[in-house]
Amino acid sequence: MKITVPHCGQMDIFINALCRRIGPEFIIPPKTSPRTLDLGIKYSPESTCLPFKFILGNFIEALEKGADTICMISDHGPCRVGMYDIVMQNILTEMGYRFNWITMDNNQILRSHLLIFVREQRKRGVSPLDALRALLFSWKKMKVCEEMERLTHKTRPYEVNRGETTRVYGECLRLIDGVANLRELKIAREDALSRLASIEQDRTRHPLKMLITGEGYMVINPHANQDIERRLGEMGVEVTRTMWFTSQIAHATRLDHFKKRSKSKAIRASKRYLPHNIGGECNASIGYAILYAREGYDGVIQLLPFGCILESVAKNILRTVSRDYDIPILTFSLTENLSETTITTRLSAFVDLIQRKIKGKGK
Amino acid sequence: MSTNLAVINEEGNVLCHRYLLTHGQPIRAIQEGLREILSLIPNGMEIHGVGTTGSARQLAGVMVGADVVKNEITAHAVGAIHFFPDARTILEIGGQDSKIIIIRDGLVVDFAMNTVCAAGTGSFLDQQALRLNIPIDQFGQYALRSKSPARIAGRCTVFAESDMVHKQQVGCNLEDIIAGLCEALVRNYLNNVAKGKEILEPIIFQGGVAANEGIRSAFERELGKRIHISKFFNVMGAIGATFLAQEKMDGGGETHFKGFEVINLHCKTRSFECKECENVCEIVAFSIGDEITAYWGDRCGNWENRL
Repeated sequence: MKITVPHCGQMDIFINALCRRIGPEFIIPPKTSPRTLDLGIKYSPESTCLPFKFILGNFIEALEKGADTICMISDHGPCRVGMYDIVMQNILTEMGYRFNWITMDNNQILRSHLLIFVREQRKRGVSPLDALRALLFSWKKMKVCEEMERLTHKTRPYEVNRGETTRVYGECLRLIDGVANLRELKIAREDALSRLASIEQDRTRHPLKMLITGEGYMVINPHANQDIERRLGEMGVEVTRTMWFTSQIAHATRLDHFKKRSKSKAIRASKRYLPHNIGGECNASIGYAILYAREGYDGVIQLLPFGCILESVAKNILRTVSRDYDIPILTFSLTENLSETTITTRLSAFVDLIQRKIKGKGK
Repeated sequence: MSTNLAVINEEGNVLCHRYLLTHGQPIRAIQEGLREILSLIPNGMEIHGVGTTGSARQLAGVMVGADVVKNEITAHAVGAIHFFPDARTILEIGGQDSKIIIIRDGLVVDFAMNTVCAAGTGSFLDQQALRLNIPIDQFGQYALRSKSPARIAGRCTVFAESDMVHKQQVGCNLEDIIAGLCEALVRNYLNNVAKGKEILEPIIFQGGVAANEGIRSAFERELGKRIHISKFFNVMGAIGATFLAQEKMDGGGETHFKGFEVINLHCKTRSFECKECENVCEIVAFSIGDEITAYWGDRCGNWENRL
């Protein structure tokens, strides 16, 4: 079995760590590139949303690389991700590929998948204890990766040489991806921390604080959101985002109950505006904007794939949130043909807007 | 679409301004514009600061040595607020994009720009004027003469054009079709770009399309409010950039302006794909004479930091 998953944030590091320990063989799709998107666009229904096109492209490239089993999440409710697995299977079969398909259903993560997982491992002769250890190790690795990424968000607005943080962060990820056990992970973490700390910084700056919220795939993937975190960072903005691999899993397995900024808290915060949880990231998008506005953030950027109905609902409600909490909110509807200029123009205008607002208040 | 230049003095009065069509050659247009401006400014006047804006702000910036390189949304707002300090809404329709800027108490609080479609911007009007063989500056007057505008769908310019052709074949007269087009574009703007925004008076309309009285009167009818048009409606972005440069230079420091010599220098851009990583960025190299003076377009900063 050669298993593959779509690119989603740094998830490949997690799966890679897991599979290297206890198998099966994992095929990482080639890094999402313009070619990936071109393939996705070519074989997708025209009006489907952007994540579909990226993910389909990932699968095609992974199959080309020799994968034979595809693992894909699914969801209930109005979000179109619920139809992804069926439609993608049809498209790939029609293209002539042969493969096994595993649908990961959000609601059954503990009930069925863990059981399947355990049963599969036992067949290969991996004891449940080994499996658990491997899972914990991969989880820790992922935590370290996310810790590094959070640090880059804090460092980038201060960097003196544009691009240095991004370059160092890339090195750190490779370092962490390479380690094989907890002891090495600890050393790699220290090393990565000192590398990030040695980036030349100008601490006299006063970065704005912004939250990136919206549809999960667009928020977590730089290739889908035109690298918005880096762009904002280089404009002197400290960003944070709503969507992280570990927080998402923690929410699905209900392990994030006591976290300060958990998704459940965000959903609860949105109750005043949208009493019913309508699914997808809609309620969380609204709720996170409220949570961070209360924390004193300067602005919120909402990302949605063009045509996403849930986020379009959120977009209209966020307008009221923006008024109630006096926080500027900018919405980006992303499609495959959005040019770089439109992104940078709007981002820099948004940054200007907030800076002038703060300056005006100071007077 | 157009290249605009403006010069202001210390008091913020506009001394002279130029509006040129770019004709797809921004470097030549900038040189031509500077040449014309040079002949207009009073003798012995010194330039204390330069700002650039618009979609070629980076190119123009390295070419003339700008002190401020700003996006056009901020520049338009700053320009408009200077002439109409109590403005609360700016409608801006230019050659290739349209935007709305919401202002409260002299501060930009919200803005929107056309996203997935550029239907209804100046280029389309130009195209239609050409097709109907009417000079673009008379387009508006035709619309105003109409008694009953034809109903035209403005959501997509391709469909709008087929609607127009259809109406002309069934016998609607030209004035009604043009007036119908103006109304369709205004409806499209209000439903897309300005959707959900609170349009409060005073409303300022600027950008090249503000010259079109048909569009202006369609806005007034649709909104039921008065629309103001500044004397400098088509160069407001450039004027805004001058104010931004002034603001910056008032904070002290020497200007980076390279002087008017750039008019006669041989400037050139070259673009190529960087193959160093899988991002495959399109890098632009700008050179004056044989010397490369700037790179941009790289995500990693390796090219930009090279000089």
